Amino acid sequence: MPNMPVNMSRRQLIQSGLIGCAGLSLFSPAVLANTPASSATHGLQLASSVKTDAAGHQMLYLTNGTDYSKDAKLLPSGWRGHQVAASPDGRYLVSVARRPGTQLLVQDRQLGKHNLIDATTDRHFYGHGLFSADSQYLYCSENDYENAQGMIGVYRVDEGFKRIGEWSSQGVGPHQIAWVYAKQAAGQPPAPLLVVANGGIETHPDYPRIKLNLDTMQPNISYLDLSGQLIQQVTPPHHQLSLRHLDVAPDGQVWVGAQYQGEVHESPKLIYSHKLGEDKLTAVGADDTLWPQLKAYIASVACHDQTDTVCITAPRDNQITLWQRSSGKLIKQMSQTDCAGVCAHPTQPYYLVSGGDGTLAAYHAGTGHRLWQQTLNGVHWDNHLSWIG
Amino acid sequence: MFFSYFSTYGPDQDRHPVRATSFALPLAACFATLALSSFSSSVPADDQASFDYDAFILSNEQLQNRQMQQLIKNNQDFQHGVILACGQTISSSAAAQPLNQWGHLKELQILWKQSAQQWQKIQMFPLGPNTDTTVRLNITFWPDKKNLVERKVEGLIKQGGDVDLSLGGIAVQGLAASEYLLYDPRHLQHATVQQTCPALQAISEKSLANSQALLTRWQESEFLEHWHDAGLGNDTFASITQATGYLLAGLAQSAEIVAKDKVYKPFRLNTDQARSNVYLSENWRSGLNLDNIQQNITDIEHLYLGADGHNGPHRLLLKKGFTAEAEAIQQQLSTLKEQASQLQQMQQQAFAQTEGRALAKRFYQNLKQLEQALKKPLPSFNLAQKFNSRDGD
Repeated sequence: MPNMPVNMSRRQLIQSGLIGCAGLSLFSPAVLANTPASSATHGLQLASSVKTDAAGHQMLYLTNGTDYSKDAKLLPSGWRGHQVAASPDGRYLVSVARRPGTQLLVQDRQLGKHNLIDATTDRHFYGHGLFSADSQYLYCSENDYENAQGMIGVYRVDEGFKRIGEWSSQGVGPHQIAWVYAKQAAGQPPAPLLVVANGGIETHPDYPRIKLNLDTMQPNISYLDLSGQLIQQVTPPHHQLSLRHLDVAPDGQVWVGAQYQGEVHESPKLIYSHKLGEDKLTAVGADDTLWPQLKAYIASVACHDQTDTVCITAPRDNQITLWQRSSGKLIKQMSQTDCAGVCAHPTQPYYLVSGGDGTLAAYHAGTGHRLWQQTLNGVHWDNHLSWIG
Repeated sequence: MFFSYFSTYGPDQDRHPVRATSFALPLAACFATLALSSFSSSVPADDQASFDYDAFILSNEQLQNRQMQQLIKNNQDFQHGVILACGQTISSSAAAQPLNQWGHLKELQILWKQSAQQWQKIQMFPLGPNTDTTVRLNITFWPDKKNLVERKVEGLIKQGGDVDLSLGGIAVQGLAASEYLLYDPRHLQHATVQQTCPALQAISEKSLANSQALLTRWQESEFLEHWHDAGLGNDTFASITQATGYLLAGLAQSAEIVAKDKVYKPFRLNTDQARSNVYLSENWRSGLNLDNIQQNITDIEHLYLGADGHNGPHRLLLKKGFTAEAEAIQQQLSTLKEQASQLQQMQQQAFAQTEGRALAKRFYQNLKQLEQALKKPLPSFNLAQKFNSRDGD
């Protein structure tokens, strides 16, 4: 199994793809607040799966553009992608097909070429992938659908993304994955672990997008070491809380958003945090009426390194929620139509949020105040937004 | 008193009716019906361009409420029938007989059909919480291209007397599973009453619970609250006009689903050389497949012309000057009704005969034209894009 180099920053290990800061932002929030949107977007380094009215499903990315509406690059996929994973060395972008899709769209930014990678026999993707910190391996959540088991596929980057192995995800319906960093004995470098959100829902490509086991589903969060061994597993308080999307804060706290599969009006809490070693998930401290209001559905989760906050989108209620990580308290709810993708700027205190109506907006990471927004007509941003600098 | 809520008209004639949190209450239903009657009578029958905004909202609420209550009633009757029939048989020698010799089979098939036909009357309403795929599959698992229902139901039967439906998943929750037990030719021939009754009882009980949940979900939904108050404008509907636009768009989607899943796939219209595959059709075991299609077209037309018979998208289109578009939709519906009737008269031969496939192809093409016709006026309704909220992951 691949080794994780240890000479990377902690944050790189925690979550590759949101680091590097190669694209220096030319603006601060204070500047943004008074800056016309066209210049405020300078320096954005973003990628997302999108659908365009003109050309269907594509991967969109922007690197150091001065105007994203003009400088965005589009690559057709032919299928609906979900998350775009970026290699920490900046060379690769990978759009991962959402379930039950069976392809990866790989863009080699160094060579300016792209190609498609097929899933192996009897597997399909779940829309999420993650590079190792040394950019040598790509990990993807996958479905062994004939056996209803979640898998983590391991791909060797310098061998043309050859699939070299797989691990059990320790659950059904694995979705988003991220790095966490386990403390070791004194003098030992921290050990990277893969944290997996196993949604618990059984699906089969013969019945695309049909949830086959809602009565018996058993979602969990699993921590795997680099040999694929299970280190810890925690389950949500209700068996129908499908844990899908997560992010990891700089202190190693995992923040996870759920989609409740029971009745919307009975929805339990949807946002939890967990630290390796704790015996259960900790729910945020919001009023119980919030969750049915959010239609029992969380789309994306992003932690901000520079602030004590986590930003979480709920597109079915057109709501963005901003939480204080240390207290679990709701700071602010913001409205944005069909909002789903969210990512934190790696150095500046704001989040970027994308919506299915083409809107891209920036919100202050501490207050939730909207700093600017633009709309790309004819573009529907999909579920996730990645910072690729 | 009721009229006082309608005394002021907004600039686009959208008005705010009284908030009714639950139309399950008979009093509220009667009250609203009385009000509707008053409004309907105030609309001259020959005034084709008038549109009563409030009647449109209320009549759709009431229609859906009635249809769901009727489904619950049908499922209650079915469940009672199953309990009675199984109870009378299970300790007798008839319990060991093949199902096709069971004296209660016909009466249970009739009760099942009433539930299945009632479910069709709910299917075409394209808005609200009950359009969720999982919700619909809980009522009946279809499309089922790999015959999952048979595999899962046979698994249930092997459990013996103590049936745990959760082990069968979504495929054994509803009408498709009980249809298998009551109609599948091979099952009727080889399975006994004793083998079948535990699963049939469990499924009929679950079907009843699922249909009750359908109504509760509807009544508890923010959708209904927003639909009801659409005249005020809210996060879901900017106005009753926009709500009407969403219904129009949803009916186009309903037409698309009928075209794709109920016609194109079972008749295998992707190539002229293929033969139809009746097993891909909905309710093929009970032979309701073509009846369903006919009912679906009737219901699309009903919702288009108005749940109360008058105030539907058709009149609003006329009122807004989309006369050609409205007439094209109406003409298309008229053609489709005629063709659906022809298909239905051919019964299962429609799948076997060349003539049936040719008719199905014309019907499909007309359904696609209906879909386009329903979509044509939509740009003027300013409907919001719903990409992630409608189909996220």
